[in-house]
Amino acid sequence: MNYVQLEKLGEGTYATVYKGRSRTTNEIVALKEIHLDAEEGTPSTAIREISLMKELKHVNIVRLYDVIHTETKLVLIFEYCERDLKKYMDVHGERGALDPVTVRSFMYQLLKGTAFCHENRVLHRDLKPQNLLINRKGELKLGDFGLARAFGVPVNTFSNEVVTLWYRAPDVLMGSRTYSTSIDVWSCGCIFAEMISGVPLFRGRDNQDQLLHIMRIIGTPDDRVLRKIATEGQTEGQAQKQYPRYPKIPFSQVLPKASPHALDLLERLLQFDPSKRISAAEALTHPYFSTSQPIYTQPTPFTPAVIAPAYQYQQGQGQAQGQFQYGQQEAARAAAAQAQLALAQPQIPGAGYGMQYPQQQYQTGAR
Amino acid sequence: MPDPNYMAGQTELNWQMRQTLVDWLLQVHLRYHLLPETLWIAINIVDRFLTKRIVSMLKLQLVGVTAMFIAAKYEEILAPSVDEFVFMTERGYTKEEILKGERIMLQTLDFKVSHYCSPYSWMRKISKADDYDLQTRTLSKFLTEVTLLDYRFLRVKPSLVAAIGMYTARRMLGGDWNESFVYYSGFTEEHLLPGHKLLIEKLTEDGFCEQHVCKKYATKKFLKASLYAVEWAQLHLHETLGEEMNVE
Repeated sequence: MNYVQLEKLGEGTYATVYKGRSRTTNEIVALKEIHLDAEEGTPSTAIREISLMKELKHVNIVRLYDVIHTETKLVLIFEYCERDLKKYMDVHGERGALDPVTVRSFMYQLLKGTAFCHENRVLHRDLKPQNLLINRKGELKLGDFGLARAFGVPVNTFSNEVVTLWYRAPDVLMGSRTYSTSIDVWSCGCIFAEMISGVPLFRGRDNQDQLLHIMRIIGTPDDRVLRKIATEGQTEGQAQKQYPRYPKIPFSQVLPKASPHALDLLERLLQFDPSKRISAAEALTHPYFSTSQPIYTQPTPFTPAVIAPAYQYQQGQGQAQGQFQYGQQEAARAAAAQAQLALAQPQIPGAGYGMQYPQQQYQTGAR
Repeated sequence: MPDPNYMAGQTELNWQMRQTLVDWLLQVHLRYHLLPETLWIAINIVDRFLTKRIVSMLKLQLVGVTAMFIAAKYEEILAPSVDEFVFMTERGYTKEEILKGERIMLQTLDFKVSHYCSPYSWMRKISKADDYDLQTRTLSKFLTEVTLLDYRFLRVKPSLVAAIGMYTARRMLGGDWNESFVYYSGFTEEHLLPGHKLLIEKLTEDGFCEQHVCKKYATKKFLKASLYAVEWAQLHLHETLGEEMNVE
């Protein structure tokens, strides 16, 4: 193999991830090693992931460099990222909450990556902090496409067993199989709120409980909307479920720290009715990203660790552009600070390519 | 897209063998209740593989069954196990051969499965033009599956195959290709006539009704679409050929 295997970064249900170094370029990479089942051969998740990742080349999506396929194992060589967003929040956040500058930068990058997937007719279907990787330049990248799907021209019917519970859209919870890009947008909204507050927004125990958690905050939608979504769920012959009528709690009460623009964007991302949800591409043009207003409501206690490098926004469209141009110098400074920080803690394992364990830890903690 | 002339590079195979393989895959696909997309992906994999590799006659069925194995893994929520695929070939190949075949195939195709978007998805889009009329759709499903058997359609892109299927179905049921169909398909009648002609020719070929695709769609479940289509094609063959000449 052209790569030296270094320390183990994590282990998941179907793969083990190691840090690795290229023998030819010395570049650090992540090696995702998938054991091949002597019974069934290449796992379907690997076929989907590799096939989709080969098409998706974007700064905000983890790059798949190479695939090594032997009789006993399959090794995917990915670009290396220091840690996932969950760990990043634990390390850099204040009780998990990130400062507004970082939140905005990450949110922009998350939506950029998501919009790119959607343009290329790919649904990620499992966006959550553990699947978003952050490198030492402060770039955020979508990873783990094991559950992702390509979608045909119009909507297809899919399995509704997708997306980790807490980031799952209400229409999917209600059984919809005709979901589309809006399912990823919902997850983006949940992640947005979590970066602001430091804790997951909706923490349900199971499908039904998750739905109630959502309704308790964004309110129970009216019967017409519920009926529409339930019909798409093809719950044959089943009488329509009755839900408690919860009033809507304004997001400003849920997230007192968030700015008005942030709250407005969140509102549009977290629409109960999937047809009302903003698209990732539209969200990128939201004033939250273009305003020249300060995005703090209170000064942050520490220097914003990370601003996405300015080059990323140079080709960015219209409104967002102006705002991020300022970043050149500041970004360089922040990147330098970030690099130092990363050097100071080199042992933190964290490129969480599809590892399940953080989620499990999380859930036990919540009960 | 596969090379539409790949057979020229093969030493033992010919187009007739490909047709037999495709018809067999159709049968397997139906027997195991796989999703419509799976069939299209599988045959696309077969053609792309045969574009790149020379295959002996003895291994052709292995190529087919392995392609279906990969397509099912990619597309299905619950794919049949490798043992079931061994069973499909009546034990003509072993499990090890299929698993090894899978590896060779994925490597040959550079793992690219998802970039292909089958006519089936495009048909769904065109169906908006007549609000998903069941007869038209069923007939069109049959007609597009017929194009799978005919190597001449290898050069036709999936969106056009879907439009040719829908167009022919409309003609057979006495409907016209109105603005709405042009809008949703992106093709005018003029674009569709050459393909339509090929399709009618195929339907009237000697022994066509022996093909499995015909039997599949002769059932009540599929509204006896194949019987209707073949009869229509026989009645309208001459008129169709004449029409094509006028257009050219």
